[in-house]
Amino acid sequence: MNFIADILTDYTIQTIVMGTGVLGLVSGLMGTWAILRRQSLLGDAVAHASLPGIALAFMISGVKNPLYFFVGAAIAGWIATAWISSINQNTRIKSDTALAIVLAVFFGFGMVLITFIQRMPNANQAGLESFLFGQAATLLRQDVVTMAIIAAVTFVLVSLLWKEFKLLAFDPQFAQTIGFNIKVLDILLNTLIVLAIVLGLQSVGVVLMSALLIAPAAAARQWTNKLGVMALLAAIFGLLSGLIGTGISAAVANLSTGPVIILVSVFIVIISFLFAPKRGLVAQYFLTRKNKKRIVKETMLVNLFEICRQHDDPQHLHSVNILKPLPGYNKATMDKLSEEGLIQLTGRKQWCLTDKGISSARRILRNGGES
Amino acid sequence: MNEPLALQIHDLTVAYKFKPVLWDIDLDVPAGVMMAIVGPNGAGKSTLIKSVLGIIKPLAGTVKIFGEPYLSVRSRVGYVPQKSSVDWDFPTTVLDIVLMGTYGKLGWIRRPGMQEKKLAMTAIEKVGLASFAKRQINQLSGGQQQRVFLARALVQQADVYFMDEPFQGVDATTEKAIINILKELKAANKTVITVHHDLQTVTDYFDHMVFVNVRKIADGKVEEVFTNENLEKTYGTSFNLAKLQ
Repeated sequence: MNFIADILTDYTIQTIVMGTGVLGLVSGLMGTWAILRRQSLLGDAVAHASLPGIALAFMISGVKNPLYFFVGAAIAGWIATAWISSINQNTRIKSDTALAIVLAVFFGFGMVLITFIQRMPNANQAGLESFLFGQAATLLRQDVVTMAIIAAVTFVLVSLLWKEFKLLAFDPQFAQTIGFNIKVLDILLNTLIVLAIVLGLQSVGVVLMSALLIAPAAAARQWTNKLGVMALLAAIFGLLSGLIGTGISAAVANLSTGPVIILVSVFIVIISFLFAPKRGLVAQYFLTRKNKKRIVKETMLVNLFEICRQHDDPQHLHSVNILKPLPGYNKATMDKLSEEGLIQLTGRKQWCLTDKGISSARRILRNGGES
Repeated sequence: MNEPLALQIHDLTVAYKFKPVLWDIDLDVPAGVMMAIVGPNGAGKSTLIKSVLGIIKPLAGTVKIFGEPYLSVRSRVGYVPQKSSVDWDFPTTVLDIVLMGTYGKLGWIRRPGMQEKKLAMTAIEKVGLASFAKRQINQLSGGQQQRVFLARALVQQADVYFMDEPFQGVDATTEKAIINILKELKAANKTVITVHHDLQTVTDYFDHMVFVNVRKIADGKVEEVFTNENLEKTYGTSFNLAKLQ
């Protein structure tokens, strides 16, 4: 547990923890909107598309200033977003194809620029390629301050425009008919998503950043059916990914921070997909099994009741040999029914409906299969 | 009725990419009528509604509601989109969706308060979903989804309502609920313009109708224009009207 003491005392680690924590919060929050608007892939395209922005920022300024990189990346990411929506609106190209085209063109162009920069006679150029997978160790206090300001602005805008963003995400056409300028809203929301992505390029990198946008929100969706709770949970999951990921990479030598953060967020997704109540796979499995058992049991009860009706005798005795060919007949089902006092064993291997069983069967038949 | 026409469409032409969807439509709808928009699939019925509401930009033509352009009267207009146009797995409740009907009057940033909630609850009761108000929308049946959209439109307290196939794929309970609402709206002298697919019920539910198949084929009172001839012109096949009714 040495590293916890390190986090509390080491200035560099403190800075990184604050940076990745803020990053996690914002990307969780904005990822919620990306997922609900079915734009999960947009984040990936934007992240990749920001690479030429970073390279151009360096070529123009000649210095490695994170703020310039940030602005360059944001502009490139934003142009990519606008380009993708314009392809979607004006051509017959499908939206996944549009994403793929824009991602490939921008990322390819970015790689060309980075290779070109590496050959430039400038001692300052080393390390630009670290934006591919991020290098959290390069975070400075002033970068964290920039990130915190952008995060604060994002939180304020999202809470002010909560109702508008919700409407835009759920039913944009209706939003338009009641007088909201959905183009403005759409650009604003996309810009905030782009900013969240760009915030993470320095520490998590171009290639993995979209995972930090999507994973916390996808995990949060599993636990709740409320939009507010989902956004809050996503922010918390993002924060935890940032904190725990940074902690692990600080504690273990030679583990780069960005990928570890992503692994933590993916771990949270796996846990959520498996164990969340109701939507989780395990809960769904047991729910399905329980329903199946109930349906088999109820079908058997109704069958017994129908046979009684055919014999015009509610106390009709059913011998086991006659029941055997019925669908769903097995000892477990009969035991369960008798345990619940719906049928009883009389004489020699003969089942008989109890009064409770008869009324229960009637109720099932009346409600069309639902008890 | 001194009220100007509820809807006036003049020379409306709409095209998606290459093909015209609506061609030179002229249509006048008096206030206070229940009007069905009838035509085959792909005839441009939904497009007609969407271009009136400004969701789709027409190539040419003008649309006026109560004598004014849509933007200046939109608070008097209610809209019920097709229920398949949204994702019903969205994480929210019935009440929350119905409250969206108040957003237009609230404008930017202001949140719905007690008064809006009361309005929403009344509408939810009207469509028979009172016990569902707090329910997650992903637990609703298709018919209940349709009634949620109807309640949202009622909350808009509009004078003219545009509905896009409200009867599509709904159960008998929902159909009844919708019809009751339509009757109530008519009694309150509201105008309702509805895309409708079921030719057998046109005469029961509506008093006016328009046949559309890219062009406008005919419009007017149902008893005057619901004829074999117009059906044939619209659908291109012959119908036995007696059988339909």
